[in-house]
Amino acid sequence: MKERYDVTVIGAGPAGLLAAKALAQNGFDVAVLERKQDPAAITRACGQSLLPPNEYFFGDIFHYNERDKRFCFSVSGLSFPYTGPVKSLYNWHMFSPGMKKMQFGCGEEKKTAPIALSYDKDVLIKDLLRDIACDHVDVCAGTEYTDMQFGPGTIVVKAGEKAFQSSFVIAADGTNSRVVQKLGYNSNRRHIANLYVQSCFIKGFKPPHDNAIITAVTFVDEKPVYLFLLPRAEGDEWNFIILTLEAGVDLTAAYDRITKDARFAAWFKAAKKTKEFAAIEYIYSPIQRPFRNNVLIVGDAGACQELECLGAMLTGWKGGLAIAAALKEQELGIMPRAIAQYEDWWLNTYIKQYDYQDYLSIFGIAYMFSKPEVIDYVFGLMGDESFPATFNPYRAVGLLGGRLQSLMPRIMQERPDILQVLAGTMSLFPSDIMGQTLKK
Amino acid sequence: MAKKYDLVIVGAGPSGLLAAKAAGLAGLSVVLLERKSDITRLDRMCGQTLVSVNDYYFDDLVYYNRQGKSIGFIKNGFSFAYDGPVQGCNAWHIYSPCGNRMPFGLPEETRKQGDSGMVGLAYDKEILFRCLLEEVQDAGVEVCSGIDVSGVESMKDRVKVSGSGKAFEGSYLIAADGTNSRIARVCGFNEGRTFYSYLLCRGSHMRKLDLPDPDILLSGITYRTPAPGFMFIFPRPYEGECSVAFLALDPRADLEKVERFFTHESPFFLPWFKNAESTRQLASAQYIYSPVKEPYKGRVLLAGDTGACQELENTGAMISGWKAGSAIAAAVREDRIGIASRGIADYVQWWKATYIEKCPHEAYLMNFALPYVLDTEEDLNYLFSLIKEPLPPCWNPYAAIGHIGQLMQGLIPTIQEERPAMLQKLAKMSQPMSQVLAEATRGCAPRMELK
Repeated sequence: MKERYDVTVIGAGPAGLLAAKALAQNGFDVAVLERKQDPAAITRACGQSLLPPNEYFFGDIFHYNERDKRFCFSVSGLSFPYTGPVKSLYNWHMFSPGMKKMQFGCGEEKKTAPIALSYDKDVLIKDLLRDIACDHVDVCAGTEYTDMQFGPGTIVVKAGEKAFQSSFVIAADGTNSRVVQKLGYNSNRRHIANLYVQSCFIKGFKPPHDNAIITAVTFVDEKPVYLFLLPRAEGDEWNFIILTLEAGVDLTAAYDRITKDARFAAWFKAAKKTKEFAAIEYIYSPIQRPFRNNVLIVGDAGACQELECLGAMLTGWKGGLAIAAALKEQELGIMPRAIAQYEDWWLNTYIKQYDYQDYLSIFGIAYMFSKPEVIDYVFGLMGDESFPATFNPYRAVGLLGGRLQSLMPRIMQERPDILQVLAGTMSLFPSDIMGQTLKK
Repeated sequence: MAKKYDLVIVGAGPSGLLAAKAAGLAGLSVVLLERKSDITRLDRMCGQTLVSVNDYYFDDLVYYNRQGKSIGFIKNGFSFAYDGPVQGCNAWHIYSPCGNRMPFGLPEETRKQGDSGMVGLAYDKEILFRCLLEEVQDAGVEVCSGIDVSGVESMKDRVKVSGSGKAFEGSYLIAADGTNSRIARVCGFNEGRTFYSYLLCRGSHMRKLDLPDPDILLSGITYRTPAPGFMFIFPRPYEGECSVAFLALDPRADLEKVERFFTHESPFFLPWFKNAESTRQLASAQYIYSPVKEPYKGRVLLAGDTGACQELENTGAMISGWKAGSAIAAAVREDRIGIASRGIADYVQWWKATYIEKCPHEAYLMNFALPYVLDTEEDLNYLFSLIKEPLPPCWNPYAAIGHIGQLMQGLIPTIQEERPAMLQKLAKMSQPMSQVLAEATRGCAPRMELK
């Protein structure tokens, strides 16, 4: 441990580690604080071991360089080794409560680019830790951030008994960021809902579709529950995630009921849990200005729930470079610009081009269409034809909205009652609809 | 049969090497072609300095990481190993013929600031080439030296390159063959560019110079030749060694005469050279064109000096090479997955916004225009005699012109009073460079093909 660092990074997830990489590569001293004893051990439910290799997302395009086993982001020129397994996924199937299906991607495996690459997050973290290992980086595992004190030119980050002095702090402690909460930045954000999550890795799952992302919206005791089934990178294990925005749903009981439910029973007949996780996440509107008092918020810490892995990686990397440039600006005594440029990028790319309301719509489907019967009807209508290949929630919502619009005349004829429901909800923000329903 | 690649790069200078590294790391199949048989050998005159290590250049901060022995570009997030020696350049001083000085920084001040006081960094380009070549090969790039590319054929979905009896096919081609780029000429990129003049240069690595400051960049100007002549002295990263270049835009100047003025005739400069020993002689001849505004067509993307007004300096060449390689990596992905292209368009937009607009080539040329505007020795001696305060430490042609402009504004009242006629000459600086340098352009006619 050094007496003083240039930067303290809080959180050793993808965002924090890439920020550390950016700084260390430029010769700056970095302390990375991680609450967990083992940064590579995944201890909570996480669906985002997926990266999109078939489209631009947050202004960059991801690509797995199989020859050299590297993850590459062509626009920002970022690449780093990933030695673990990967699996290409080609479709996204979305089921309604009555098992009506919408599909993203037309399903021609190998002929089209995959919509997602499933990777192993443990290996990713291990590889990143190896990649950044050098004299400039101290990764302090089992070090839980507790407090921050601001002095002239120095921030002291306290973690229990330990204290880290540095010029800048990068907060990459994810959704529910304690740094963001302690600094009071959440008071300007809108709290929309809580996300209650349970997940498990399962073996023996019989998927209705191979190499696909499977999601379903269903109801447990009349409360909306979402299922995500994601193939793991290695072997035939799947990551099964059950989530809800409703407090008071017993997700453990829900697991048993869903897996025995006639609709899904065939899938889960031989399924066995190998590992279990849980999470509770607060869904806030994103932070608009992620830099204040020499603290930069990157990754999910400043986002609406999450930026997906690609977004977390890019903001970590770019945020780290911005702080490196700021340190250089100070050293040279020149007009600062790098952090302002980063904030512009964040604002233009994340806040303006990717609207968090679109992101929320994916969790809002049950609330917007309100009743199982309506969801079934809409899915049935829209599912006739597959959608372009994507699992990017922002783009998917745009595609769904576009098709729904074109089906309006038909709905008006067939089901004027449903049109009324849609007219009522589609004019509202997803956050408002969710908020209203959840308050009740 | 031509071998097929995602990307063919012509030219293994700083720009081509960094394009190759970026594309190779992104997993592209890349071949890098170089005319010279030994890529690591430098066979023409080059100042071998990184410009502007004390300020932004092309919106990036370039620096030497002394501890890690690497050269880094913070904003673009790339760096590469350089294990050779370096020498900081702590100021840039321009001398008028009689020895009056226009100082960009005072070394006695900047030295106190250590590395952050340096305006530029001298390195050994042959070592830099070796280091970059190693990284490029590690990134999976195939390197072919001794290939003098003579033909380029753009097709709908690929581009074919031939030379030295061999042929290569790529989905894309990056032309990084520098100033006087043959690819740019063959592919028609030079149409519509303004020809200003040549930049003719001869010089040598020298030892035992007796300089006022051994750790700064020095320039001198002479009028004693049929056309203005320039001298640049660059520190070299070896004790007591410098690189001395004599330059002219206009072939009438006669570089031998330029050299003789500084080394044997001028009472001010000749003492610097009294004991000088030349260790290696080098030369170069370049065209000065206005920059290419659209650096992409027919699957050919220009990087580095290839599309620039004379040169982007090594710093700019490296940045544009890295970005060009990344842009092609994006383009190859786009093609493979069948989505709308934007990687190359983003590069072109960056080129226009960062280079064409923010670093106007006219400003770059003004650095050579001073003796064409103030057309007598006496004018320049007088102007420099008025400079009482040092200008900000700077080794960046675009920024330097800005500093000179500010200085002039302060001097105008004095000049108006003392030499009103000179003001009219100075006013010429506001004219387009094609007019200011018309005399040099005429001096280059009839234009010859430089091989």
